[in-house]
Amino acid sequence: MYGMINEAIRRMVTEGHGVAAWEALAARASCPTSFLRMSQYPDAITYDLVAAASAGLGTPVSELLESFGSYWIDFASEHYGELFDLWGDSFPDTVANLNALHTRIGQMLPELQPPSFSLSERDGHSFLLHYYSRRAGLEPMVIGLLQGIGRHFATAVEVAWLRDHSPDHAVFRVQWGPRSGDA
Amino acid sequence: MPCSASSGVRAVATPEPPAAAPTLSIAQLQQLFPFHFVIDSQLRLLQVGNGLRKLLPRIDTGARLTDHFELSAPLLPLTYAQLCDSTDSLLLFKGLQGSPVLKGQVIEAAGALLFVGGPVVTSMRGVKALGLKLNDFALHDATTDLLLLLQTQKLMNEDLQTLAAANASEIAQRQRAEDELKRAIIEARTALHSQSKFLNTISHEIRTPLHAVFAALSLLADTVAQQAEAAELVATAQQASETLLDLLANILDFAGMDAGRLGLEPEPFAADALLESVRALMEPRARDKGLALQVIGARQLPTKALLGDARRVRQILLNLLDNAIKFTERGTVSLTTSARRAPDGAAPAWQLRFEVEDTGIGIAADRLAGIFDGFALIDADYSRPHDGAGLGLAIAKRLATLMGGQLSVASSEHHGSRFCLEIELLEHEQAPAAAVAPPPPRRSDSPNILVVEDVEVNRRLLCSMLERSGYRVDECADGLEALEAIAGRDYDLVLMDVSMPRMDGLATTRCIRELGGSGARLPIIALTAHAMRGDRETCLAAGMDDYLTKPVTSQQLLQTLERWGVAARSAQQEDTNMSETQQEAAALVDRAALEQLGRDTDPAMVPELLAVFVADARERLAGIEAAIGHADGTTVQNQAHTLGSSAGTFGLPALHQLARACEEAFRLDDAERGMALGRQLLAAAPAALEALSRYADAVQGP
Repeated sequence: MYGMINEAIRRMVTEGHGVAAWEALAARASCPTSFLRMSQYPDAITYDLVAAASAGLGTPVSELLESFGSYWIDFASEHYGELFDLWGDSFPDTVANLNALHTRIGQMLPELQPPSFSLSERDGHSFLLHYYSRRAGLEPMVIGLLQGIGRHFATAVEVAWLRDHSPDHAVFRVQWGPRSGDA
Repeated sequence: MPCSASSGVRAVATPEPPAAAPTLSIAQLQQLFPFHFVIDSQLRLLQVGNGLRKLLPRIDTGARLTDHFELSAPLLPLTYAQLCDSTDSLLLFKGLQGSPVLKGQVIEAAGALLFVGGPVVTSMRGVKALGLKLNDFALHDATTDLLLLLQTQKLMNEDLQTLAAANASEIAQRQRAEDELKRAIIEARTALHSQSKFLNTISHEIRTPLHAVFAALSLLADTVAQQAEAAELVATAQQASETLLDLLANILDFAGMDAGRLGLEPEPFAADALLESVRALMEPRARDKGLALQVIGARQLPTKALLGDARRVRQILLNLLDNAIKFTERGTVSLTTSARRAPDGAAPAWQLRFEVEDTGIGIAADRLAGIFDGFALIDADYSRPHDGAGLGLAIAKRLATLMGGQLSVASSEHHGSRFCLEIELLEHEQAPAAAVAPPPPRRSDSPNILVVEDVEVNRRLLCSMLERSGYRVDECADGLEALEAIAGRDYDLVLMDVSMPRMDGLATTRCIRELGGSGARLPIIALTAHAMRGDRETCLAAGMDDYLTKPVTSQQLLQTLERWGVAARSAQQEDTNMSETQQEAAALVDRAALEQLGRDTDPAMVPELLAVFVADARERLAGIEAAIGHADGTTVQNQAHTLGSSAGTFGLPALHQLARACEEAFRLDDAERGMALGRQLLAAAPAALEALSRYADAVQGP
């Protein structure tokens, strides 16, 4: 994975628990303590960091990934300028553009293996989000991503993982309310 | 197309091109080119894309293109005809307010001109400033990709800067560490140099006044010889001065050891002669304490010369014996030597083993481990009866290690100690290097000596010492005066200080040699307080012939002068081919021993006792002479034994040593050596007995 992911984990742990906690976590995972954002690192580093964080912070992995997914939205937005300001006017529009975003970024970073998304059964307040990925176990992060996008648009979002909906990819039922402040 | 029956491969028909290109609906046009517009020949806008409307809310169909844009590139007038001629050009339309800028191309379609393209943006911020979103651009539009690429490159550049900064920081850190290391090295070298300079200076500064103390006490001893109490005080002061000098030497050695500057100066030497010198020096000390000093195994020592630092080996043995005598109240102290050839190596070598054993107080087990550490004393408390700063064993251990050997100890409290020195030395092909042969003895009754010394008190004492011994002395305060003196008069020998104002001893010596003539062969003896390693070589390299370090006793001084053939009448011997041992035997009477004799008996009885001893000694010497003539070694040994015992008591230490050496030689079955020492005894004794007789006469008075 690109270093930006690991760097985001570092920032999240450091901001929430301090530098010492991060250094201890990195030591437990036998990982470096800092990363170059645009450099490629083995996936194992990211998995080890998550496992070490779970063990060190006493937080289940799924909960950790969900928190990270939400944190990732702000982190990526900070590094890619006003990305989410320009990617859609609303929560559903932005989610609808997720696939295009990942595809385009994948062009920039040749070793990126981005997931793919598609929407179905869309109406004014819900849709089914289909998530395709070469990596296993990151579904909780998708939930966090959606929560993060919802937070960005001040929109309450509910996400349910439909575990038995499909055998070959993850499907989420996503529902959202009106944006805060909207009539 | 029919199948080809023979090949069995179905031929594929070439598709027909469409009769007409697919047409696009307005909606499709909007989806594919959201920033398009269509104009007629009057440049009126017939259609505007949704993206363009969002970009310029005031734009609408029916308005003229020129109401909103000007042609920025190419630089041509914005006319319909010009645009029709520019269908193969990239066009830039700039808003009349300077923004936005549309980039694209025009094609003729259905009697009008269609522009397709999009706004020029170079950042996400630029998109936002135009009031657009990224999904206002068509999916196929590369603008979004360009913006993401630019941002990704920016992040990569930031990564490079981070790397460069980290690298620079690491380089700076290493540079700082390197600078600090260099600084520490310089400081250490400076400190070492300062320490070395300090040691040089302090050695010189201590030795200079100590020389005056030695010289003054030596002269005083002569003066107060007949005043028992004063003589005892002078003897005490002399002993304390010697102790101080030994302590100074040990401190300098220890400091040199600490700084890694304690070194060896290997030279060829005779092991048996070294052992003999050690025995000769330590036996009186043992005897004074009522102890017996046994020297065992001297015959086993190799007769061939060995290559090593004899001075340091001697220093170790003297230290061990001195300690053994110091810490033993009764019983014996023994020095046992053994030697064997080393296993075949590149060159012949000998493994020497020296064991010093005593019946003294021993060393407690808890102190044994640190016995070779500096400043370790057996009884390191206020009630200790033993003197010394405890440096000797540390230095001895270090010296042994430097020699490639080892120094070990076995001891138990109250049951004595045994120290063992083991070293391996190479055989030296040549005989031990003899000192440079001095010129033949001059036959002047009162040799002329030039004393060159800047410190007045030292100069005066030196002159007084020499004059008392029968020399004629001239004195100079520096090298320039010395050159003048030598130019105007012939001298038999020069005693040259080194550190002097105006012209030092080294430069003066070089001048004397360069002037040639009598100066080329004039014996020049360095008499200096510079006693550090290398100082002797420096003096010899400057042209000096010999080297004495201050403080120097009158005995050392006179012996050196005699060695260089400059003996005054009172010290001259008959031409009997006397060896150094014989010269020592004819040296000063031990007045302290005679004073002790007077205290032990009755001072008034001393002259009579001396007369009896002299008469008895002459008889025994006659017996020795006869026995030598008959090759009767047993008689020589017995007579030497009796003579030696008495000689020590009656103040003739050199005669005592010579007699003991003679006896020891016979005891070790070395008859040849025993006879030779017997002959030396016969040669040396008359002068010694004469001196004793004169002393007796002087004591008795008129």
